[in-house]
Amino acid sequence: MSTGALDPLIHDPERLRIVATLAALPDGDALSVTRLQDLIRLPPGSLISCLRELGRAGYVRTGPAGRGRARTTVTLTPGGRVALARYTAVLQQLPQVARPDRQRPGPGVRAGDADRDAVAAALGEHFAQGRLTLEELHARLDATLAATTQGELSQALRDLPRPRP
Amino acid sequence: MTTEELDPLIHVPTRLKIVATLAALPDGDDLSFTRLQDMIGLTPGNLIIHLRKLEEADYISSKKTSNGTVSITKVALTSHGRAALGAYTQALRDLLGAL
Repeated sequence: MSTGALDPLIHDPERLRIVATLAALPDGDALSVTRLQDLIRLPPGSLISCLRELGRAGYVRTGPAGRGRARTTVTLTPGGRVALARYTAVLQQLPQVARPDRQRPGPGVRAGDADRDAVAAALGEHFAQGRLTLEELHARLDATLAATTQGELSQALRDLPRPRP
Repeated sequence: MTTEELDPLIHVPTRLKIVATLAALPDGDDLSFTRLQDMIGLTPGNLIIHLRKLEEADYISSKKTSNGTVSITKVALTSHGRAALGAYTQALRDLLGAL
């Protein structure tokens, strides 16, 4: 298992919160530093030093914006967005961290013999536990063995409880 | 938005890797120290230090077995550690949304 390194600049809990908060804005939108501080609830000093470090790496851009009171705003740069995406991708490679259903192939993905066998075995188990009648079992097994996509396979189990992980 | 704190014990990248690797085993299974070292790619000294920290928090358990000539240390995630990883990943998801 070769997991890439987690970008230490983003991995720091405080900076992670800042980057994640900024990433939730539409691309290119800026947030005032005061608003960011409300959202993240960091002492102003830590927030400023985090922003400075992120700024040095080119992940965020701060700039005065608006008229009247000199309000400083913060934006996630395209570089910062890419860095966060890469960071998230590294996290997803860790087993047990990525959400299991994200790893499950989409409904249009072709099913193989092993997939069909697994569903058939699960159906047998549901029959044994009294959730399916014999006719239902036969009908679903026929459909399962004829299934060519993951979507068709999942249809066979649509109303049956999932085994506990 | 109240984001739960990211457990600092798990958040350290190396320990995150250790915990995630152990969590991938079926519940109750363990892994030998050397195997874990291969999978994570750490020096033994480094790995021992991280394991000790995790063991102090009762996130992992280790037991040493010996068959006379060689002794093997086996490491496993405790149920406490599994719950901590679950809370940690949930906190990450709250933060990043798209995991």
